Amino acid sequence: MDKRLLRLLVRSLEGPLKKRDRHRLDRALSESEELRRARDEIEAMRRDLASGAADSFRSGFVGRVLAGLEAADSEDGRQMLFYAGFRKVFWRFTLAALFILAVLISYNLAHSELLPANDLLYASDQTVGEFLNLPIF
Amino acid sequence: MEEIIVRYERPVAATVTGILGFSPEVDDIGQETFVRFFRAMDRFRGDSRIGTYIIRIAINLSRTELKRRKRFAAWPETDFPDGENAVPRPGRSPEDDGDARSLVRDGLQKLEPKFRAVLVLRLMSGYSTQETAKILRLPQGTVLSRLSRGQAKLREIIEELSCRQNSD
Repeated sequence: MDKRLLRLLVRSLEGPLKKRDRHRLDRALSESEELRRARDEIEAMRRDLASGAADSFRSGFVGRVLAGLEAADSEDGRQMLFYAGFRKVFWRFTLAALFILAVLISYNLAHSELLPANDLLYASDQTVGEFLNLPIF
Repeated sequence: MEEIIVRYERPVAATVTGILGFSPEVDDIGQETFVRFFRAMDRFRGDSRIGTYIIRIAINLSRTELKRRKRFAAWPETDFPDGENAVPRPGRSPEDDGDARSLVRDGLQKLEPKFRAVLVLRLMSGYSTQETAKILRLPQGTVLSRLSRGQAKLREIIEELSCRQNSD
C-alpha cells in the first residue's frame, strides 16, 4: 500500500485536509478495498488506545502523594539542619586552625635559626638596585 | 494541592501506563511526578500550563524508568499480573485477555519510545497535536509525522502479534 496515502489517511483523522489532499484520499478510498480496511483498523486501534488508558492510579493515590511530600520535606529539613550545623562547625574549626597556624608561624619566626625574622624581609643592595633599574621606574 | 493531584491524576496515569505498561512501578512514578512538581513549584515560571509541566515531568521520569529497564537486562514483561501494586485497568475482565485492546496495549509496548510517547499523549491522554508538541518540545509537523508513522507501525506490530497468537 502507498505509504503516503496511509499518512494522509492518518492526517485526515487529526483534522481537515487541504482540498486537493481530501480529494485524493477520497478517490483512493473509493478505489481501494485495502485502504478502506486500513482506515477501519486504524480507527479501531485509536478507539482501543483511548479506551485502554488508565483512569487513575491505585486507590488512595492523593494520600500517598501527600505523604511522599511530607517525607521529602522532613528529609529536606534534616539535610538543612545538618548543613547549618556543619557550616557552623566548619567556620569555627577554620578560624581555630588559622589562629593556631599564625601562632606557629610567629613562634617559628621568633625562635628558629633557619629563618630569622630579620632575614625574612632582607633584600641585598644588589637586589634593590636591580629592582630600581627595572624599566617600569 | 489535593485539587491539582485529583485534576491531573488521570492524564498522568494514562501517560505513564501508556509508556511503561501496567507495571508495579507506575504508581511510584505517578507519585514521584507530583512530588517533584510541588517541590519545583517555586521554579515554575508559568510560561507553560501546569498540566503541560506535570506531564513533562511524568514523561521524563518514565523515560528514566525505560532506561533503567534497558540497563537491567532489557525489557521485562510489561504486562504484569494484577496485584497489590497494580494500577486499575479500565474495563478489564478475564475474557479481555487476548482481545483487540490487549493486543493494542502489547503492541504499544513494542513500539519505539519516540513514537510511543506521541501516540500515548495524543490518543490515550487526550492531548491535541498542538499540546503534544508543546509537551514534547517538538514542532507540530514532527508530531503529526510521528503520529502517522507510529500508527502505521503499531498496525504492523498488531498484525504480527495477531498472526503469532493465531498460530499458537
